[in-house]
Amino acid sequence: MSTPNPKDSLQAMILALEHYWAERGCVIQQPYPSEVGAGTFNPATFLRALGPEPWRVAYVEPSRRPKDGRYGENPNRFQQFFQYQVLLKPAPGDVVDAYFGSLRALGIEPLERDLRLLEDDWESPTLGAAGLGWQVLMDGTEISQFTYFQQCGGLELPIVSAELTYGLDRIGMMLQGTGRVQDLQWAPGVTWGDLWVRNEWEWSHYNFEQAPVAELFDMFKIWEAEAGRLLDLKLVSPGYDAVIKCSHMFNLLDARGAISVSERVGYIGRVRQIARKAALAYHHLRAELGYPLIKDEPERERWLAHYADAQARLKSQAAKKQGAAK
Amino acid sequence: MSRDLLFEIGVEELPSTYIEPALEQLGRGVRAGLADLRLGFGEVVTHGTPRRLAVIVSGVEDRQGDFEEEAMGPAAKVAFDAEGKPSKALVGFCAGKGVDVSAVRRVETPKGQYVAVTVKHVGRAAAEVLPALLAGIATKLQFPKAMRWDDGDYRFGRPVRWLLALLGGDVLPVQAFGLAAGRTTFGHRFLHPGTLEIASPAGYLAALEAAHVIADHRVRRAAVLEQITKVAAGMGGRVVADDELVDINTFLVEWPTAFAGAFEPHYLDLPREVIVTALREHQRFHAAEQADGTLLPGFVAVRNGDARGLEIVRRGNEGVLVARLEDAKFYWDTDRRHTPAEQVEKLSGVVWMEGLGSLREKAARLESLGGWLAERLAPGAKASVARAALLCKTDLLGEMIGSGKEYASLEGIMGGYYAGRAGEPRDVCAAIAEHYRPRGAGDALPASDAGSLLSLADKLDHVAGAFVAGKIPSGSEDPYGVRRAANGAVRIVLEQRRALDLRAVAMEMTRAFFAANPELAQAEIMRKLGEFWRGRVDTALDERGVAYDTREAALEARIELDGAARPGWCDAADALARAQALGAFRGDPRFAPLVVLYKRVANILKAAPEPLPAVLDRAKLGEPAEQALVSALEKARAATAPLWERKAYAEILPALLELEAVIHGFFDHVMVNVDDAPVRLNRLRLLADVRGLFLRGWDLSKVVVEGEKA
Repeated sequence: MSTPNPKDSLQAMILALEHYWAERGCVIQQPYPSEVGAGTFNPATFLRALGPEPWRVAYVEPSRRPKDGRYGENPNRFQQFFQYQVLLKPAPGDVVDAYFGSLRALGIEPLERDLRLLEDDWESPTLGAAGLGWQVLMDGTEISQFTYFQQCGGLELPIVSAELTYGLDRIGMMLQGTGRVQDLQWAPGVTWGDLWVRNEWEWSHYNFEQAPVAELFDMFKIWEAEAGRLLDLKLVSPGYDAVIKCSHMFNLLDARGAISVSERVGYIGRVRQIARKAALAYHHLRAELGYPLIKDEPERERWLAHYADAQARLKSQAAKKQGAAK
Repeated sequence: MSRDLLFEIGVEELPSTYIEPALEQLGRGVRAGLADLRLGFGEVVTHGTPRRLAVIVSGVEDRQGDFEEEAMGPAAKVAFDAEGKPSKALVGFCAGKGVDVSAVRRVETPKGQYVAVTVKHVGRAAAEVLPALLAGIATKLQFPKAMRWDDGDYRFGRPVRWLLALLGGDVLPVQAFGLAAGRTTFGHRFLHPGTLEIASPAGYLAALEAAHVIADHRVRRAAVLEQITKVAAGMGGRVVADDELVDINTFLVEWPTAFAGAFEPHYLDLPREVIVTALREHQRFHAAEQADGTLLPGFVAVRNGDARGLEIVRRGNEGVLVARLEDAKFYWDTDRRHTPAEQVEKLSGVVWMEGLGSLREKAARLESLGGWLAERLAPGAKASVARAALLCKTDLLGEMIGSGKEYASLEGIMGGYYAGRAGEPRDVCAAIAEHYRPRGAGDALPASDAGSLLSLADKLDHVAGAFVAGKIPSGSEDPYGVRRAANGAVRIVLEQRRALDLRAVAMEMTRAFFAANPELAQAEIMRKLGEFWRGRVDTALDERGVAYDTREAALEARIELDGAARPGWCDAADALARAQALGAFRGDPRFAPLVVLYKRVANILKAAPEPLPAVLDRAKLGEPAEQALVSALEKARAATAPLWERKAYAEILPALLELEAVIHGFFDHVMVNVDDAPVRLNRLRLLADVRGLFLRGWDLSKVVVEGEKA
């Protein structure tokens, strides 16, 4: 069987990217099986970006933005879109060229396009994450977000990762030369419209009209409390899962217009607080596990010693504070 | 012997606005560093693109100059012990200076005998000292936002990926950012993949040009300008002037190629500012217009590359633009479904500033304040100001300002258009459109009276509200833009010469807030507000080149405004006029003695503890010198009365000079502080009257004249 051409279908683009990044040492992971607003929420990014362990991963992330739904009618806006997410930790020195190489793998010839790196400082207030980088423009359209993570869950990152996020739907539309997402070829003979138009209509209907506000507020509180409880038990994965669910409750409430402008900041702050708690729990857990992803023994010892030092420093600071308080 | 120096910091694509400030620091750092190192050099020229910050220095001397330093050591009695042996202090001093103990000699100083030594510094080779200098400069460059990368501790605007450092043909071993410098650089990311070797600084620009990089940003800017002009001419028009956009495009590309694009002419129904914003903000396109100023249905874009595939690039860019113009058209159509007048009550639903009520309340305040200002400054504009005040915030409710980030900068301007479409009078529309002006230091002021008054009301209310809400700017922190608002108001007052009493304004502006909330610490707020306005006027005078003590003299005058006694800063335009007159008069040789005399008067009055009689009792003036001063004072009053009226300050100061001789005579012949209290107080009253005449314009005791300390 010959390799499918990425210009023919969105699934061929996915295959090309999987192949390209697998060759560059990425673990090919799968989407997170719960609603996320972006690939960054996937623990393969949010948690793995923390701490000193090296990590390379790539995966498709179906991302939900309930507010962006347009009942499947708008050619450019929809509540579920498909990101291709790559995290390279640490970011290699040639990461920008590697990114452009991946565009070549998609059949995009930089010399025949106008490709730009336009300054864009990225921030996720709910995740307490921030980074500097660019939006990548192709002939004036934003096709990717390229971010050097500086902070995650409110923690400064000891090793800076590069996060590359491709807007698959957009790139697909440009490659296939279609102005309507509905006409995008997903697979030979099957369009995006065939797969998702009815889905978009139903979810838009739900997000804007049927989502039960009172129950969602309750669920927000339940998941918020659950995140706290589970993280206290050092159950980091289930605890972080509750953070994701809590964040999704917020997005649904926001789409329903149930949260006023002045309340928004408060809700975002509450999600950020548990996201931070998850980050901190993961930070300690990985050290307790001995940083198993660091395969170089002296390096592993060095980082463990570094962690032990930091803990000792914190302890003595806390003791001093307590002494001063007395 | 001297050689040229080249230093290039290779970096991933820097934000366009970071480059010029970084080049400025680089050039300054190199100049200062070479001077510190005592290395002679010729010209320092910087070059910048998104991927490189470079500096070329011509004729850097190969070796530092030798020089001798006279170093003072410890006192002789500390340097040697009782037996005349060198002490630890002396040995330490000599070790620090790298000299033998025997080299020191004793020197006499006003503080006693000390030891000293002549240290000979032998110049080192430039190649030895330059690497540390260059590494230091590169790692200390400041950016609006810096980032980390790898696991290093270094910070820069974007990751640094290579360093190139050459002195003549030799590599300088600069080490920074975990990199070692070499002679390798990179050409254009796509047009010249792979590395590029630079033989010598002289060949740098040409080698890069062959690799499709115009490194000299001055040359690149000229190329951008020439190309966009040519492309616009091909469309039958010219580029809408926008220097900042030319800069942005210059610093977004290494190899510019301009091209034209088009959009459907029916989008030209949108307001001009909306189209220009749609082109500029996201796409960095230049708008094009005909000779008569009407927009053309097209744009000029600048690509980072050559002409290859230009047709695809053009089509792609046109497609994105259509989506943006469609959004704008949707906003424009939606927003016009309701007239501004119909929207006014909806302003109640929008919070203006936390704790200060809604935009509806703000509109009501602006209506009343606008009227109050109009009565004082331009009565004819009162009706227009009031109407515009009521409507001016309604555009914030619309889709254009409300939902599209890129159009938020059109607040006010859109309101003017909506009001026009709804049939509001022209003056009202203009006032709404102008009422945010000036938006910053370089922006134009409102052109109409109504626009100026509404802008003043808006800014004054902003400042008063912020102080009432406790959002007072401190240091460099001003998150609510209070200083910017105040500076805009002061500019309007100064440049349009509007006589406004800032204290009365502050009282008027805070009245509504205080009425709504009687709990507020009114006296405290008013005091802080007064200090703040005085500071803003002071800054404005400073920016106009008025010296510090001249400003103080003008700001601390005691003037009368609408029958009320006020400090001189309360009328900013008048304070500027007085300050400028004083500044011009300071060159007069008779000025300094006058100031000295004035200070004598002021000091005597300052030292007087008792309250003075309200008026002078002429019957008590026995001495001829007293009488001479009284009549001279009365003459000066009469002579300057019409001048004060006309604010002819430049003529007042020479007229007041006449008093100098009689004041002198007074001090020579009259004893002020006599025991007889009624006589003493009456004489002090006379001096107070003399001071009072000056104080209407200036407090000359603030002026520093040569030969005295401030």
